[in-house]
Amino acid sequence: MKTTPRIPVGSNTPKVAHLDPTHAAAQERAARAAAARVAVQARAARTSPTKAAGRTKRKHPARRSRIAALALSLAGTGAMTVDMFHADHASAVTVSAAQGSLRKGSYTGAASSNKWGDVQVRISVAGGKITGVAALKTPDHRPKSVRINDRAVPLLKTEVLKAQSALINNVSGATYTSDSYKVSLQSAIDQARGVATAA
Amino acid sequence: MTIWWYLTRSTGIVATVLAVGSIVWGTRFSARATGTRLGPNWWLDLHNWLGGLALAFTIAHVVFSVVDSDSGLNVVDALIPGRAKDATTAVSLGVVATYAFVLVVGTSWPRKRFGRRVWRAIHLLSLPAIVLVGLHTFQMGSDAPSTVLRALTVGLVAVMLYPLGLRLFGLRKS
Repeated sequence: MKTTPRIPVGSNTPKVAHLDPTHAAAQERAARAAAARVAVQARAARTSPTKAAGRTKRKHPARRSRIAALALSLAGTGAMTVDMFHADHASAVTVSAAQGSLRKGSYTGAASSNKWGDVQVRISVAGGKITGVAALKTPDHRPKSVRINDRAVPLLKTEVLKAQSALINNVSGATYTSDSYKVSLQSAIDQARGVATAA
Repeated sequence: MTIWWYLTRSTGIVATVLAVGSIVWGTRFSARATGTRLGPNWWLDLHNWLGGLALAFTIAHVVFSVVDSDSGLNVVDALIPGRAKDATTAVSLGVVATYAFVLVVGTSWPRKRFGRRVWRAIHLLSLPAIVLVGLHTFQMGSDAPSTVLRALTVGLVAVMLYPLGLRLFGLRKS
């Protein structure tokens, strides 16, 4: 096996380099660059330990995805809120479409069913205005329904007397009762206005 | 019905989607099924972010429900399970799930302070918590009959099953 003869390190190169002015200038430049690097690292050590350790770790690798997730969440919340609002108010507009003055008397609306039971409303009219509203039927098969309606019916009554129509807001947590209440109420109002109803 | 009621419902739905997203991301990361296109750091970072965001939207959901004067909930009802007069079971499930998420997210940031076993046990609470959230949503009733919500629930369950299968049964690609 042949072996390559080794040239002793530094046998003649240092002497030549020492005499070479361009090599000396290059060494000086390298030394300056090294000093600059040390200065930068020292400055970084004061501000960021990660940079001082020579690492360029990104703090949040999924930064763009984070922003996208936040934007989508906010947009989704906004869109759903608007959609729910319109859905509730669209049904209220439908039930209050009839026009005409109210005749004096007491009118019982048609019962309106939902998954929890029937809702039926009677209104009293005097001087062309709704002066009283009574809920004749509300879902009462479950204690929970009774509790919900005990809270919701007085709120709905207040809304009707204030709005003088079926164009009222639903009560939170009593969506079914509110919707059926408005349908039965509109039926009673239609009777008071002399509008023929299907029921 | 006030604007707070709509915000309560919408933030609740968004919080659920974010929580499911966080669980999916975390489970895929844990199962080492993150693919090669995006690094594990990206998955872990987004998992943490989605978890934090889910908690933020959950807190907003709770705050809006208390602020809504029609809801019949006060601060005590929203903090102590079994105190709400209306929809007691549904609200209680939501309160318990919220506490579970607070624990899961709260123990993730100072993770090194906990032993791996403790952290892991707490982190696994997110799975029963998301089931409680589903029951809470469907027991409250307002959005339960909505076709969109039902389709969303089916989609979320389907999305969760795949990484859970990967994690539990090691269905890794060879």
